[in-house]
Amino acid sequence: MPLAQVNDIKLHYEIEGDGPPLLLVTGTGYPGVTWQTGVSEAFANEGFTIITYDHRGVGQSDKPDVAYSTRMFAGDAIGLLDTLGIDQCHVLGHSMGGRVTQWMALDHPKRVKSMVLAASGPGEFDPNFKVTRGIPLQAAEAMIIKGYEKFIRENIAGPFLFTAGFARNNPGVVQKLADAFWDNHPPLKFYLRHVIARQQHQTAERLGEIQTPTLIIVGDDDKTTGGTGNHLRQSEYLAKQIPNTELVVIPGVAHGFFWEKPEETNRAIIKFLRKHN
Amino acid sequence: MPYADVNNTRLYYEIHGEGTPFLILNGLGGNHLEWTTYQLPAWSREYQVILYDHRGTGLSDKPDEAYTTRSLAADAVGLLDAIGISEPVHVLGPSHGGRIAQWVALDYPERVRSLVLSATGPGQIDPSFEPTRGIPAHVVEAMVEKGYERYMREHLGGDFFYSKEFLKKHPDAVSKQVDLYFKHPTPLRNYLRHVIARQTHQTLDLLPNIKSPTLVIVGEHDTATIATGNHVATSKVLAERIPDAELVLIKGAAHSFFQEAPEQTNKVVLDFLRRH
Repeated sequence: MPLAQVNDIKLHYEIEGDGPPLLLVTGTGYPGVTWQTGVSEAFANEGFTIITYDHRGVGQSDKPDVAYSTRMFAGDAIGLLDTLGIDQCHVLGHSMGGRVTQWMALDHPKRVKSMVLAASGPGEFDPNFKVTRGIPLQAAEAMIIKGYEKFIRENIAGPFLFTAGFARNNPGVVQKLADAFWDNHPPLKFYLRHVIARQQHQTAERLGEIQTPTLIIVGDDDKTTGGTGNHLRQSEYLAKQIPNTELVVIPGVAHGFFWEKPEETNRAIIKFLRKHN
Repeated sequence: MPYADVNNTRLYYEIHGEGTPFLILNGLGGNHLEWTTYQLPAWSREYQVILYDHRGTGLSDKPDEAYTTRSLAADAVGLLDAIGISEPVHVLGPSHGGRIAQWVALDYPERVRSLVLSATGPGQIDPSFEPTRGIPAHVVEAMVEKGYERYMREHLGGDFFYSKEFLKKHPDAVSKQVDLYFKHPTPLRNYLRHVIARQTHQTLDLLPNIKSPTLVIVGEHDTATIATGNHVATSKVLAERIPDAELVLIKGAAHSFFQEAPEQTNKVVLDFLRRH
């Protein structure tokens, strides 16, 4: 199990494939292994070197007992690239991972060749939707009532991630992702720190500074009003504010389009990456 | 049972005694019963004590909507309107209730005769410690691990509320007080909504505008830096910035000094009220 020494901690990472490097950044509390459910393999088969890793607090990476932020996670990702001797690479971040990716482009623009912001957001941007900077009420309540594992498994199987028909007809896909998460889940304390990092993410005012070629990709059904709001609207805002951007909206999917419509998703992403190789 | 219609919500209230009205604002999730053992007999001998349950708590209605300390202050004044009290009243609030009381004094100064802010604070006071502006992670963590009821029992009967010495000497008094919460328990969701109201409270810059005579009272051991920070530090800031304020530190007590040292604290409060 490869570990990299990064910013005084050890991060667990995995490498597969060959070709230009593509770093995959997971969402809130997700271990890197959740990419090894077909997603990383599909990109590797297209001729990329795929790097996946566990954020601090998750899986087999160290879990320092401090407050976390998306900017800190971005520093970790850059540190990982340093350790691996990678000057520049493509970066793809899903959900909170997309928020981390924004900070990589803001703080280390030369290191990011192009970026894919999948179902991500900029923090608060709509005066009519205040983003709580704590644990969102519904999530807190559900977790307290159900317990941590049941909350995670139902969240992964639920309408936030998958459309109802898909989850019903493809229980194996849902189960595989849920097991990949739970087998390497962050301890509750660190999961909650990831949630806080996501809720406190704020780049809305700085998106105009980003010069990195950017693909914004989102499902047209990613409309659940979660802690950060509706990801379709957040993605549309990102596409409007980041100068060098393409927006791809995948029809008929919610937050989990990597697993619900992998071929269509990968096609759009590979096409974009090839353009910026 | 007396209810008043206030801002489209039915609030439960009780009136005890006669004299100048004295409005009590409960702490987080608590209900009117928490005053009945140690304070009500002494206070209602001299004042018309008004106890009530905030929306979302105790016996009041529990609308599923966001609360703020400022909207809860509007409820407090709406209650006075509904029960026909127009003369200025003494207002006392512990902790969350004290944050609401600050907004009563800021938004409705003509309704306040004097203000007692007990074990409370004005939001962020220290640039290096920003309270989580929402439900703090450690609260959720403990509630997920213990469940709501056990969390509340351990929290209300633990060393945040009481000094270690009191917990050792008076376990029965503590558990009786905790039981009062569970006579009319606040549902989890409404409790969390009140937590958000507390965590997003911010009046630091407005404190000089509070013109009411103010008693700031805090237990010397109320120094845990969780959720909203150390209440001794926040109480000192309240006393420094509110123009007409005096500070009383209760030796040996923590957050629940009204239960730990009832005779002493009743005397401090009544001496202050009599002067105003």
